[in-house]
Amino acid sequence: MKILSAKVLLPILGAALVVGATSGKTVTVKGSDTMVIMAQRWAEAYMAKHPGAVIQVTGGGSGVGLSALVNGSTDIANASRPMKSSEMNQLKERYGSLGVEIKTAKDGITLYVNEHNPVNELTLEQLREIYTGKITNWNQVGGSNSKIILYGRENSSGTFAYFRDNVLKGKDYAPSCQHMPGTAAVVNAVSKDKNGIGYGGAAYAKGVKEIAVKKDAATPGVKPNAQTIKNGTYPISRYLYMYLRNRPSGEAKQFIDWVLSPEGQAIAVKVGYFPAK
Amino acid sequence: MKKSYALALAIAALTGTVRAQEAADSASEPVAAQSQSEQIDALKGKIDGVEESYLDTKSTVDKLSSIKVGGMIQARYEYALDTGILDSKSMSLQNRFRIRRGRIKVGHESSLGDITAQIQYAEDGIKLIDMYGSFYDPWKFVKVRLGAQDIPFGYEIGYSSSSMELAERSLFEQSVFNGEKDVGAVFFLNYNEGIFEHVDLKLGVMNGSMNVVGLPIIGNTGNGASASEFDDGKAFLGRLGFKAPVKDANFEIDGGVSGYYATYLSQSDAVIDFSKQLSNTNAAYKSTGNLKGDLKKQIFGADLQTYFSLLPIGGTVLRGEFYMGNNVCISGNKVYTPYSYGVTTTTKTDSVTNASGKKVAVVTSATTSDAKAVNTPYIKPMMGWYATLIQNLGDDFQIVGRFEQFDPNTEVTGDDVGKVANTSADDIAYTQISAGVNYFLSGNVKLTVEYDHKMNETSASLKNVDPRKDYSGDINNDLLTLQLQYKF
Repeated sequence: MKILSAKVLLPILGAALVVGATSGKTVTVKGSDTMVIMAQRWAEAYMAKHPGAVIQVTGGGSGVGLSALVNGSTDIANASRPMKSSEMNQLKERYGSLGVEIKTAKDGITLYVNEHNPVNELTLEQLREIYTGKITNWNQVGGSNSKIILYGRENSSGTFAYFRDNVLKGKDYAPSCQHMPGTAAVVNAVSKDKNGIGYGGAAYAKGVKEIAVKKDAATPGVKPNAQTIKNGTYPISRYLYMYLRNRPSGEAKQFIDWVLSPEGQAIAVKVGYFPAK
Repeated sequence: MKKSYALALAIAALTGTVRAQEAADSASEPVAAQSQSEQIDALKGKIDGVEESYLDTKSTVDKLSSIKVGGMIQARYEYALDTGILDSKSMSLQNRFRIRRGRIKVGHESSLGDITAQIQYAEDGIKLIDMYGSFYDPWKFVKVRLGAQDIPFGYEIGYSSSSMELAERSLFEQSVFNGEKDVGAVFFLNYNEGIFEHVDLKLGVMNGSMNVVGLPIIGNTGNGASASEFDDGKAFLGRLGFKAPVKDANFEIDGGVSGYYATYLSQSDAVIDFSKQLSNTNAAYKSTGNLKGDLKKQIFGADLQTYFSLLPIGGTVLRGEFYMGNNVCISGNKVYTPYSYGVTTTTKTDSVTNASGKKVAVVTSATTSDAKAVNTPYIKPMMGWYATLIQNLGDDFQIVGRFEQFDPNTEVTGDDVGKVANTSADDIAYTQISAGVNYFLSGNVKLTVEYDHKMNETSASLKNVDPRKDYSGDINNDLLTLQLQYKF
């Protein structure tokens, strides 16, 4: 038994150790559409500073990125929501790992309406009732007598999940909500639809009007900006994450260290987000 | 002078040309503007059409995405170090190819429920091993699942066969809960808020008949293999689990405690009771007068899993499980079932004269189903445990080691096994060390190389019971397994 097991197992273990310790220079980053522009800017700036390094960035949504992390088709998953316990269980089963979470930036989920819409602020309760279909007309929240047209993100999106869990308190979106393939598509739809309302990252708020959000009827409305998101007065803010299977090493570690450096964080601010710390 | 004249003429000509062009442009401007506007309208219409088509397609895709289809095959080559260790239909084998598991799983999920059916091909035929429907609240905090499903006991029973790091589950599980399935109702509580965030609870009421729920489709369709319950006794079982993550340290301890309590109606007057739970058990562990009496299977389990992501080469997992209690089984430590059904083949040889005038022997055979025979129940105090260490090496390799022990009858040990009445090789305890390497060729394909060193308890009373199984010493029954798994 000893002879056979040593003959069979030792070469395999040796090969495993050699291959396992080897890592390539290309780092793949996949996931959150909210983060994709920021991640591309990071990759471009990093590659310009580190000739020879290749950082490949693609979107698809937080769920897609985390799924790719589990099945091994990406090195880093971008996510605009924390990893779910079911996703962590998959990592535990396949890699014996809890995943490594890195907070890369902060974001305020911005509510957009068409620039001709007279409504300027909404409470969290009103937003919940609008998106769950309880409030269906703008005149119920101080606007004109017209039907509210809902735009949201696809269910693979971290923004979709974050908004559902934190604004809708886990309730389902109204069936009439149109789920768009990206935040840019939401902004585009709202800019063309005078009765539309949508949500997405602050970085995309171009050509539409931002709504001030009130925690409740008694508190003043707050718009998302660096100060209100940093001091927590804007009620719908969140972290933007990078997830890895294991502790980063090699090129991935250098890239993440650079993302968290003042230089990387300055790019996050330039794109429209806020520093993680 | 001539030059100035020529230049003036040229300027005049050019000016005239420009004016003529401007006039022509101003005349065609409304036409061009109209044309551009039409083109924009046409493009807008096309975009709207594409958007409408996209939403229509998306609606269809969303419906299709609620249908889940999966499957796997585990193709295996096994090599035993000593001839005759692998028994297949009483044949002695030293090596063999096997399809250990071939499965297709189909399900559908909606916001308030799901349904799942899973078919398995293995050496005992094609069976429907899972057939259940689940019903839950919109947040999936509470779920009730009805049908044929995994029993909610311990850790490894609910662990996916395709994710297992070693080819087989522990010796305890293979004997006491062989098949891992039963028919019944299981309640799940997975409320991820407040103090319940790190706690989960599963409680089940099931038939308790375990692997006789085989639901045969093709093969193994004898009278005994049926999905129906065989008595009114039920199994009450469950697991209370916890998770204790230390997030900043990338460390987590998970665990749980499990209990299983089932009663079976004895169809046999005699019961071999090593647990002495029946009052009239005598020195030979034989109890009589038990017809229609209750047989109690009571098992307690505790499990622990620790996860470390300390090494940059990959995650480390240390996992352990312990079980003890009284098992109710039949001969061979098989899961209890009250009756056995046999098949008898009788042959007859006749001497007949053929066309050439020669006498030849003609063999005819006939197969008959025997009437059901009552199984003698055994009640055995038993104990089992295992500890598994898994180290991932990068994303593609994994090395695994497991140490385990299983004693199917803790009441009788050593040379008493085989000497005391009603004991046999079924009561021999085992210790097994398994070592393996997994290579993930892709997200779908896994290659496993595993070596199992199995050591048996020795008993001089079981010397040469079977020429291939001399329990007076350690039987050389080590096994090398090569397995290729494809799953989707």
